Amino acid sequence: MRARRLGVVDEYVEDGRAAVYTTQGMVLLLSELASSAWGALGESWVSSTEVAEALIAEFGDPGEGDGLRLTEDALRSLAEMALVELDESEVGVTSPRA
Amino acid sequence: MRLEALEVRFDISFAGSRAHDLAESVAAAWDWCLLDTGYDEAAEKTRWPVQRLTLALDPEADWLATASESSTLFGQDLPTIMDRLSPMLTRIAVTERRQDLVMFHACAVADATTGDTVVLYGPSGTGKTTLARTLCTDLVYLSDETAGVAADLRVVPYVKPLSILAAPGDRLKEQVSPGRLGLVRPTDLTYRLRGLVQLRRDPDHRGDAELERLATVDGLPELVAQTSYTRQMERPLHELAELAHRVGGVRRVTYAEAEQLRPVVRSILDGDA
Repeated sequence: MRARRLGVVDEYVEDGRAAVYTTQGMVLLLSELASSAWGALGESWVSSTEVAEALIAEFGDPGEGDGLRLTEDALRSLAEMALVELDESEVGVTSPRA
Repeated sequence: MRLEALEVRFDISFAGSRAHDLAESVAAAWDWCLLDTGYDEAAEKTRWPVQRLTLALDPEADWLATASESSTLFGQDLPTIMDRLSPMLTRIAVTERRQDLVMFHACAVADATTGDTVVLYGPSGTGKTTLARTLCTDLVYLSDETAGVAADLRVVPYVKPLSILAAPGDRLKEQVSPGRLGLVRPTDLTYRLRGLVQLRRDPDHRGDAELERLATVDGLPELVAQTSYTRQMERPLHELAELAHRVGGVRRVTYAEAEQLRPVVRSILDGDA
């Protein structure tokens, strides 16, 4: 999986948590994990493994491969909130900065 | 008739067979917003264009049909027009001031001596009008609905009539002059924001009102929801966060009855909370 940010009106980060003002006019408060995942993304595609590495560095490794699964869950949550775009195909996973 | 809302000036004409009744009712309800005669010269210097409105009251539907093109607001019965006038004037004034004021959906009250002001914001139904009615028998009434805050934290008084349900279940609210309710009128004092408080009314809340400070990030969703024209701000979350930081952050109060907020507001005005 890879992900990239969609446009937002504004974002505000405090103590590791982000409030994001979406183009739909809502302000969403993100969990610490989602905030970090959001912070690891940009306008270009980033692989979920790269995001997972950033989250593991910040929160520690839950072990048994759960880091990647939890990261992809967080990315899907962000996608449901229309904050990120996902590409679930395998293409580009190993070269995230397409 | 000339009146002012958020420093935006309105020049209002009246039409229809009951124009006189309508004019009298508007003058009685909006008496604190009326401009003195001889304001014309000053109006030329106002930063915002004078808004010219025509209000028409006539029981004849046929007459109203012909008058509708030239009237801003028209109707067959007085209470309906009075009920609709307040949101219309507010909407126009808020739109005019969208570039230079941050406007909260809020009740604003102030200390009569210092001008220090607390803005209590929240959606409809959180009791803003009741708060203004209760607290402003000794604090200054600045608004029960829209608090406009300038970049230097000056709060622009908007001393509109209070919209009050005469009886439970009524469709229309009565527009009552703040003077008729015995509220304290603003003077030439400069009113300056000292506290931003999110209202959370819980009828089941027991004991004293509970005041808490929120992390700014937690306060932003509701702060944005209760602020007009945030989409026109360059960075709305940062601008509102900065404003909150300048007045001690975002506070939230949970309460059941308006009277419970009297000591809470006083403590903020005194710098104790």
